[in-house]
Amino acid sequence: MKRSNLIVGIVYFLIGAACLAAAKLTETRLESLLWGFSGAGLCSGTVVICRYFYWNAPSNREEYAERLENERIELHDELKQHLRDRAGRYAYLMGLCVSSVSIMVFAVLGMLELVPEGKILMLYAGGYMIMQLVAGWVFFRKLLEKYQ
Amino acid sequence: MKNNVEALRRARGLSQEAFARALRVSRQTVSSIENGKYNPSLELAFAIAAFFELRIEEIFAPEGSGNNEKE
Repeated sequence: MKRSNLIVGIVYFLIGAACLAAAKLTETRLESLLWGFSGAGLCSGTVVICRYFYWNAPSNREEYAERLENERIELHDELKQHLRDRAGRYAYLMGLCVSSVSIMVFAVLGMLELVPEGKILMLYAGGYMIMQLVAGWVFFRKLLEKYQ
Repeated sequence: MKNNVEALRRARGLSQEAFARALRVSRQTVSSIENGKYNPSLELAFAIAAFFELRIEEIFAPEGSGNNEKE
């Protein structure tokens, strides 16, 4: 395992420790967030550091090389890449459907005054839907340019 | 596309896992190619042909549309 993994683990751990210290020593509205960040930083940092030493042990190096090769195959496997692309397409279409339905729902709820911030939510959903459409169009054009 | 990848693999006494490892693809990809659910890219088709030391047309033959995946 690369040394950079160890450094990342140490950085996570230090950030977690800093958040823990800040949560303990200060009184702020962000205290609950700081506790969360400290837990995430300390736990993930510890896991990364332990994994570094575990996989760098001479007895585990061969198994680690095999795992890396398997990960590389999984990542670059053409069937899985193709399926990931399709899954992304379905997720994109689903996102468009959900945001367009949300606009209608928030508009109705806002008019019935069942949701106090109905207009803001409607604008947010509308902005999100427009962003998705524009991003989809821009990425498609950019990709098409690359193939011409 | 129809293919005889499975027959060729079996003739060489290889498991799907071993064949996939030799091609550096997943076992699922080999399985999908063998049962005709997925047509490999040209690159992978050439790799399969090179592995069996055959020409592509000796392994793959057109069956209908050229889509990469059967509906």
